[in-house]
Parts: sequence; structure tokens; C-alpha cells
Amino acid sequence: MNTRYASGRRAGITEEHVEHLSDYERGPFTDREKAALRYTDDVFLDPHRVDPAVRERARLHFTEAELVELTWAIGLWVETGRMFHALDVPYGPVVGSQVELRHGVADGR
Amino acid sequence: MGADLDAVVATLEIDPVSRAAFEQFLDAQLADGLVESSIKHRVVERLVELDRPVSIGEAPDVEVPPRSTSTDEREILAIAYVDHFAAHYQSIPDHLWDRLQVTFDEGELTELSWTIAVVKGMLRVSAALGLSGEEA
Repeated sequence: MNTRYASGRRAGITEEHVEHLSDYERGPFTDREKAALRYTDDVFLDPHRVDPAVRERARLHFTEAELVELTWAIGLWVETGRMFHALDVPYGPVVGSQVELRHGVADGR
Repeated sequence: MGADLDAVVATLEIDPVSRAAFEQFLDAQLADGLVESSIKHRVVERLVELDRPVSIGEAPDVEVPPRSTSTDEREILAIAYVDHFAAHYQSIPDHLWDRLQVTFDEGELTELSWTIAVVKGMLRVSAALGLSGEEA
């Protein structure tokens, strides 16, 4: 919820979701979302060592094609974030808020 | 060694239309752009070499290669950037960055960084889905 703050809002992510993200298993997420979040943790930490139980849990909620797309999204966003770090692109809550404000003014949202 | 990207895409359990779109996307990333395709393909090769489990593959002891007057200066620096990006993307050394900025303009550096990000993302998919031929 920083550089993608505005699009997250439009996708229905609320402050309540954000507050519970660090403890998502007990947060206001669907089982499908929780499975995706748990899978994301493993893919982020070490994609070579995704817990088979975590992958199976994800497969209960996602088709194989959906899992491919989800994994691609995770991989691309993890590495895009690292690219922002490497290029020293400013980001974070403050920048996100400014983008949201400018976006809201410009688009009338 | 991980799998090469073509093999990974061929293995994905997705419909032919999606696979074709995926292949087209990756081909476009590796085509000549601001940065020449030959360097991008060297970037892929290097990232595949570096792709390994986090707990086993410690950050490689990367050294910035000595300044070279060869025509491969761009490639040498691009690979040094890949090594540092893979090992510690949060602290690309200033001395490497200075040399990169002499050799690549801002647009080229952005494109090179994006290529690294896309290929690393793809290798992450390969590893996570157990397609790299190693224990997932």
C-alpha cells in the first residue's frame, strides 16, 4: 500500500485489510485470499523452498492457470520493488499519499 | 543451474493463447531496445547461473571488474550490476553506479534494470512452481 495505494483502493482494499496484513490468517480475508497471502510469503522468502503444504493449500483455491498468474504477479512485483530500491526511486506512504491526492484531483475521484 | 526461460514457459500449465502472449512478452523484453539484445541475453544467462535457494546460495562475493577499454565494457558492467542486484539490491555500491552512469544513459539503465526484474521474476515463477528441475 504505497505506490499502488490508489489502485488498491479501487480494488476494494480497506484500512481494515491493511491493519491485519501482518496477521492475515486472523484478518478479514477470504480463505482464497489467505491461501494467496501464505503462498506469497513463501514465494517471496525463497521460491526454491515453497512449503508443499502451502502450495497444496493454494491449489485448493486456485486452478493451475490461476496459480501461474498469481505466481507471476508475485515474482514480478517482488522484483519490481527491488528494482525501485536499486534505482533509488522514492516510494512509501508519503509518496503514495501524494500520488493519491494528485490522482484524485486530476481524475476527479 | 535453473531452467532456461523458453523451457519454463513451455512447461507452464496454461492455455495456448496465454502461453503465446507470455512468450511474446518475454521476447519483447529481450529484443533490441535502448539496450542491445546481446547484453540482455547475457543478463539472462548470468541470472540463471545465480538462481539457487536462498539458504544455500549465499550472496556471491562480487567484485566490480577492473576498468576495461574493451568493447565489452557495457556487457562487463551490466553483468556486474546483475551480480550486485542479485546479491544486495538495496546497496548498489556508488563506485559501480558511477561507472554504470558513465556507460549507460538513464533510459538504458532503467531498461536494463527492468530486464533484470522481469527475468528474476520469471525465475521466481519457475522455482516456486517446481519447474526448474530442482527440488521445489
